[in-house]
Amino acid sequence: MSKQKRMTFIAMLVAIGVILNVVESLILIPSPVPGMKLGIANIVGLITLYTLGIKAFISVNSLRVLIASVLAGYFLSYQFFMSISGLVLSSLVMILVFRFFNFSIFGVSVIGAYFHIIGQFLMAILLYQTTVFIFYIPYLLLLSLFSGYFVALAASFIIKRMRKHDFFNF
Amino acid sequence: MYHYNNLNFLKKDAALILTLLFITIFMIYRILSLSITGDKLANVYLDGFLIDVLDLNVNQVQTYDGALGDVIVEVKSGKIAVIEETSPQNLCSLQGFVSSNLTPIICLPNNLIIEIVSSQSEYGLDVIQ
Repeated sequence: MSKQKRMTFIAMLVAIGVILNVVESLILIPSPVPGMKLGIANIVGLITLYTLGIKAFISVNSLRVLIASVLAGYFLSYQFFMSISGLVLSSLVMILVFRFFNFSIFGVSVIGAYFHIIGQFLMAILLYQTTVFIFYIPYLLLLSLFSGYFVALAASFIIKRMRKHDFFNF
Repeated sequence: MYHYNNLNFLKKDAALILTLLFITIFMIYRILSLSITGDKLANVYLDGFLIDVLDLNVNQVQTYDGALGDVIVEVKSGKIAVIEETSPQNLCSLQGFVSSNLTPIICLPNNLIIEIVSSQSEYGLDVIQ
C-alpha cells in the first residue's frame, strides 16, 4: 500500500472510531452497573491492528480518544484520564498478546477489554482516593468478556470482507 | 499486507476466556461476602476528599457543589439517593435509592462519590473492645 493510501485509511479509521465513540456515549444501556459501555469503537482498533499493524493501531487509538474527548467535552477531566489509562493498559496488553502469543482476534479483543476496565479503575482509585470502585469492577470485568467477544466478532467479519474484496489492494 | 491471519476462534481463546471468567466469578463471590448489615452511614466524597458523613437513619436532604452544578442527595427510610444533578447521562440519579455498601453511588462527571459504611466501624467500637 502506498504511503498516501495508508495515511488516508488511517484518517478514515480515526474518523469512524471518533463517531462510534461519540455515538456510544449517547447510548444509555440499562444496566445495574453504572457506566457500562460496549466498547464498539474498539472494532476500529482491532481492524487497524489486523490490517495496518501495531504503529497504526497506537496512532488510531490515541487520536480517537483525544478527538472524541474534545468533542464530547471531557478533555483533561478525570473521565479523560480514566479513559487514557484504560486505553494505554489495554493497548499494551493487546500488542503483547498479538505479537508474542498465538491467540486469535477473539483472545486479543477479550484481554484488551478486560484490561481496559482494570486500567480505568486503577486511575479512578488514584484520582478519587477511594476504593469504592472495587464493588463494581468484577461486574464490569464480567461484561467486558462478552463485549470483547462481540467486538472481535464484528471486527473479524469486517476484516474478512475487506480481504475478500481486496480492499485498498493490500 | 496483513500481519496475522488468526481471525477464527481458537481453543486457546476459549481457555483464556474461561480462565478470566473463573477469576471474575471468584472476585464477585468475594465482593458479595463483604456485605454489611445493621446501622449504616454514608460517606460523601467530593474531588477525592471526605466532605460529609450522613446517618442513613435520619431523613434529610443535602446539597453539594459538584463539578457540573448542584448535586442534591436525599436520605429516606434508611436509603440514600442522588435525586437531582447535572451530568450528560444522569447515571447516578437514575441509580435511585440504595442502602447496600456493595452499591456505592458514583457521580463521575460531578466528582462526587457516596460510600455506605457500617456505623459501628466508623466509630471504632471494635478497636475499643
